[in-house]
Amino acid sequence: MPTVKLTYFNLRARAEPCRLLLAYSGTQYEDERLTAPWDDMAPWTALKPKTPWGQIPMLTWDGEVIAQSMACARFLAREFGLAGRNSMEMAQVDEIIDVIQDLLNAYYSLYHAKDTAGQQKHLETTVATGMGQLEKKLESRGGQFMVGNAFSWADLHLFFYVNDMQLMTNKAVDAAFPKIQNLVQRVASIPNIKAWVDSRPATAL
Amino acid sequence: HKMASVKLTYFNLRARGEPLRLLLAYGGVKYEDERLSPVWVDPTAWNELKPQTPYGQLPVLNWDGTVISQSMACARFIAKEIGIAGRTNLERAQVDEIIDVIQDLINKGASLYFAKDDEGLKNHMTVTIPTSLGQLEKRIESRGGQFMVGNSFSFADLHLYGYVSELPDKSVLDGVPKIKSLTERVANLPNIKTWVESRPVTDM
Repeated sequence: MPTVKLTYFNLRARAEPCRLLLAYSGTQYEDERLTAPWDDMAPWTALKPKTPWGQIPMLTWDGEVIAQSMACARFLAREFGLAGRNSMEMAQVDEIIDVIQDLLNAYYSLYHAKDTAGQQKHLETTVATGMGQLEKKLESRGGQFMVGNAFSWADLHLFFYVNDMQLMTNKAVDAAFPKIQNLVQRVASIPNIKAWVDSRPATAL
Repeated sequence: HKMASVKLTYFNLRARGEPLRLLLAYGGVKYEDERLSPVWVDPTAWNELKPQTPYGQLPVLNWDGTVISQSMACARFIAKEIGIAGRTNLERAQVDEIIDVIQDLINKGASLYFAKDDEGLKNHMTVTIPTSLGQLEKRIESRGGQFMVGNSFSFADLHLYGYVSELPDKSVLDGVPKIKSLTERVANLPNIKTWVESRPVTDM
């Protein structure tokens, strides 16, 4: 049993992909949450110089610190058997993760810039196009899971994206995409995912 | 496996062919679903085919020209081909353990049914099955509660779903909530849902 600690702000945002992976696996971990910097800078100011790159999230796994949210998540996915079952599947999973991260990073930019017109355009064009491409991909893979007809981190990360966009924008970005919608519902009903989503702290981001 | 030429030969029944059909459905494998009239309806086709089968029994699976007999050997083969047999040697054993528990229940029930042993069947339904389900519930709890083996979907989950979906009295599931949740989640898999809704309707 590894000793696991995840350090981030009291937000979903860039730590939630790791929290979902940890929840799915049933791994006990310390969910360390710092006050969001816009509520109180002090805790983060104190911790920042102790982090490898002046950023969080950080994952501490049996005393070893890993930074960079996607490196942490990919590590956890491998640990829990969700990263893809061979080299090709791992690449196919990574492809889906990167597509989602591109969409998410674009949205976060517009969010932090308080660009409401930009956010609207992003949803109507970039997101709609991206989701259409993901729906086609899911169809081409047999319609049940994004990669290899088997549940993987790609499916969990797509759930994270749709769920988080719903919470941030109050819009269902999967509404026009039935196979993705179905996949997201099925991931949501996985017992550990449901339990985590129902019980996690409610935060703006 | 998507390129393999696959034919499953069985009677026009679910029974011992259905575990294979569920696997093939889950895997998205195109196959010829050859169905013979049950012998009590018309034995002609089976009488003609029987001597051509390795052991005088069905199902037989023809996979790219190679014939495999014995329903569970066929099932384990398909499970491996579609990647749900277990990811390590130990997981494969854990999957096999669950399959064997379910097969014991199926075989016992079939014996009693064909022997027309009403007393035995009643005991089977009211004692044996709930006891086994209770043991399976403990197993899934010990594995984290989401899937029977390795916290990951496998043939064990699919076979358990297949067995439970055939039970005439589903109220027995009320005592085993994690298994109940698992079987609902398996039923919701798109390929399983599509197959179950579209397969021929047969008595057994």
